[in-house]
Amino acid sequence: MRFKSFFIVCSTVLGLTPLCYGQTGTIVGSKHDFSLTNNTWNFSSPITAQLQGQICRPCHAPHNTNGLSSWTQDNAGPFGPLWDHSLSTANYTIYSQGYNFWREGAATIGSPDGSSKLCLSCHDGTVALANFRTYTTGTTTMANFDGGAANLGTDLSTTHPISFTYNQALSTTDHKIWDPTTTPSGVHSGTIDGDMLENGKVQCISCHDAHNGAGVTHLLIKSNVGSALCFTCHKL
Amino acid sequence: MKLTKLVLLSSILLGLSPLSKGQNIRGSSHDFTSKTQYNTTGELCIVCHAPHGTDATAVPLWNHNTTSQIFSTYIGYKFQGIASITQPDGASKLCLSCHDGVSAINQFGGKLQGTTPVPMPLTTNDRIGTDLTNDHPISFVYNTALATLDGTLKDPSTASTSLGGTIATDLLDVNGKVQCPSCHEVHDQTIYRFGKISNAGSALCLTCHNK
Repeated sequence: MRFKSFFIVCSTVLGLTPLCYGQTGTIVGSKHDFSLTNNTWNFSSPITAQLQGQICRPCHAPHNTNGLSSWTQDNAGPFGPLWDHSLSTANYTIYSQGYNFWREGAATIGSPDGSSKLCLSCHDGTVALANFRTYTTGTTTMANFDGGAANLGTDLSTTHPISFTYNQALSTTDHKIWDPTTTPSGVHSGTIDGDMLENGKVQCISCHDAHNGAGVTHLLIKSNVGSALCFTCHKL
Repeated sequence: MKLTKLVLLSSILLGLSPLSKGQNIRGSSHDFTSKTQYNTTGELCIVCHAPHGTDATAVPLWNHNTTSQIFSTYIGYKFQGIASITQPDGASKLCLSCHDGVSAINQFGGKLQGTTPVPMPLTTNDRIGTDLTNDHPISFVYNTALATLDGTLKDPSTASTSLGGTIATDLLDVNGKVQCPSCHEVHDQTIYRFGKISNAGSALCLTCHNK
């Protein structure tokens, strides 16, 4: 068999071409579209006027972000791509549920770090949604928006752990998770480590795409029908 | 290219496919994706676990209602070293949150899902009920001292299992207790009746019992 036909056969069988993982969602019209006039974000005047219908503005700005002049507090470090929303200063109760049986967990969970801090700057319920740059008159937080449906609070003990290193060693100690360095993510064409981890750590973005790239419910990075997202890492 | 090479190469590449993963809970009795009358998200895990907003008193990330039943516990006259078996705790209590035959299977995510409570049917063998006097004891500490007192139990700290470790590391919970998952692997139906170890030749029984 010639290489060309071999390639075609394999491509057909595998469905592994990058095209299969095409991003079909968009932030426009999503839960994170802050331009919607009917979004009930309650961005009180004058913030609504300042937004000028922008989608991205509560989180990002094109200039002078990340720790310049008066909004030094907004510096999210290298994980803040032009980040402009005020960060939370909350102390968190971190996941410590542990496990029932030996060999079912061994990760060391730290305080939220990396890009998860950006998510928590709204989703911990302590910072007003409309609290970015110099616009600090917002009063609606995640705690009182939409009945608190998307509010995690500062007690993260009942939420899936984040900000922990998920490496090959962990998958050896915990025999119920896949090796992230060799297991495909099913999100893009790479591995769990390549597509879902941030500097080797599980973070909010391991499961969620804040920009709704996949276009599935709960801003997940891929559909969780059949718990497919869970099973990406959990060997069950 | 010869067929064997093609197969070989394809296999290597296929090793990267999600389809090659173990899918042992999928299609098992614990796969609730087909229970659309109360599981409307199409998610498999959600009946027992959720990523956010779970029960702080049960692990891990427990999303199901936990049973509030009072159970009749095992009283074996030859069961040495244990004065009494306590109420089920740890993971066993989670199992019994469906298998008590009273609690609604569809009570999860903080509410009744669907319109009618669905307890485990009376007629199924899977229904343990609230009378545990006729079931192997659970929720008791199994340690060297118990093995010594009993005389026919292996020392869990040294006796090996077919899983590669000792009874203590492979079969007991983090408090050193025997629980439902000491014998059952809730997430894997590969072995008969969700067995943790095949019981052919009663190998599972004889892992602990020195008979």
